[in-house]
Amino acid sequence: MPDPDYQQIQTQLTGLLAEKLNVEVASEDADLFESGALDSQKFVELLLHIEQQFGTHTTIEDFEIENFRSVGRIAALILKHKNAACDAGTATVQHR
Amino acid sequence: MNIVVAAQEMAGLQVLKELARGSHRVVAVLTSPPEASQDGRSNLWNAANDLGFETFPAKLVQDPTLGDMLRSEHADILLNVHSLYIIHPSVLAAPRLGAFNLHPGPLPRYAGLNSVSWAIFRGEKEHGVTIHKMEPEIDTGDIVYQEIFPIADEDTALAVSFKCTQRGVALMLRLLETVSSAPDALPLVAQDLSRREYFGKVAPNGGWISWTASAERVVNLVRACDYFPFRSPWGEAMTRLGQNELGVAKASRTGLASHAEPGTVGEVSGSGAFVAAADEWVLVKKLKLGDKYLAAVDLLKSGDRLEPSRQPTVGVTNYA
Repeated sequence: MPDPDYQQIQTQLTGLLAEKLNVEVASEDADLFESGALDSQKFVELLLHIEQQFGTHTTIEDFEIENFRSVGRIAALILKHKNAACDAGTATVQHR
Repeated sequence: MNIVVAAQEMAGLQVLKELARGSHRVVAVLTSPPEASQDGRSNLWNAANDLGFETFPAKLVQDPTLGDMLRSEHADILLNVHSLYIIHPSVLAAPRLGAFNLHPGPLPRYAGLNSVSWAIFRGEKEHGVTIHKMEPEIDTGDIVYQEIFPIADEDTALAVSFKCTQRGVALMLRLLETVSSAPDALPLVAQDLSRREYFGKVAPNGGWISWTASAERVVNLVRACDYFPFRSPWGEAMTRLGQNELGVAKASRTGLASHAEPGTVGEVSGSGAFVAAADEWVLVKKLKLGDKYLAAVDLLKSGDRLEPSRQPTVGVTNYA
């Protein structure tokens, strides 16, 4: 069964791309680079919007082209950071 | 520390994002203002403002009075991240700890411009990024850090550019960490300038494909130009079909020997068009006609003949 958080992030991302960047995405697997949907300006905007909308900080280790190739992959990256932040929060509480 | 950043492109954004999270003070960000961009947008300028940084036009680095401003702001370090303006010597000398450049190439080889594209075109199997101290002569200063990484056979210029950004920004952060904690520990290794190779802005042969070259060389040129869907500094690799000039946006090797006349279009299918190089069929997948990208099947048919530019174009480019 699909992770509801992942599904929600994916939906939000698709909306973000359409509303902020005027990019319509056919499916979660659609290749944003091969399709020509993301030029460099839009890609920079996307990186900023991801941080603003999802409150996650993608690190320089994440900066691989494959991590940004599709809505599905970007959603997975955001979810990874959200889960890591939750784990860190839990660890802090337990430590206290 | 008080930091000045001359920044462009994805790497510039990544460095600014990291600085916004850190404790250093960013005195100024020098980048292209919106009115200087082709479409009136400059996301890095706007992004820097959003991150709370004061922005100045990138070309201000050519103005010696910027050095006075940096001294009055007690600037400790200047970081040049993919900004291509030549910085005035008095500006380079102003920051207390000096100015450092992130170069997307392995110095002393691949100095100059478009090093990613040149490396792919020349069939290199590895590339690198270098942080070096800036001197008035381009890309000549002492090397601080360098990382070498492999180039895969299928890597495009965009893919290698991502690798450069990822590794280069990490080295920039390492530089900041070292200079802020133990500046005397910063490695400064003189370049062996006898190994220096300097590359210019213009694509080889003006970016025109010579189908009489090997398939490897043809595909390397296509890959070297391939920043799709980002803007390519070399434009697409070019060829000609009758009166039409076509950009070859995507192509790959097939490994299938060809004995056809170079430039001849062989079998055409949904996956692309086979075009004869000197030794092998090349699979041409995506073409650009005018401003439009089209599948090869939409433009080419079996028996067509692709040709180089009508005029010799060595050293000339019309899409730099």
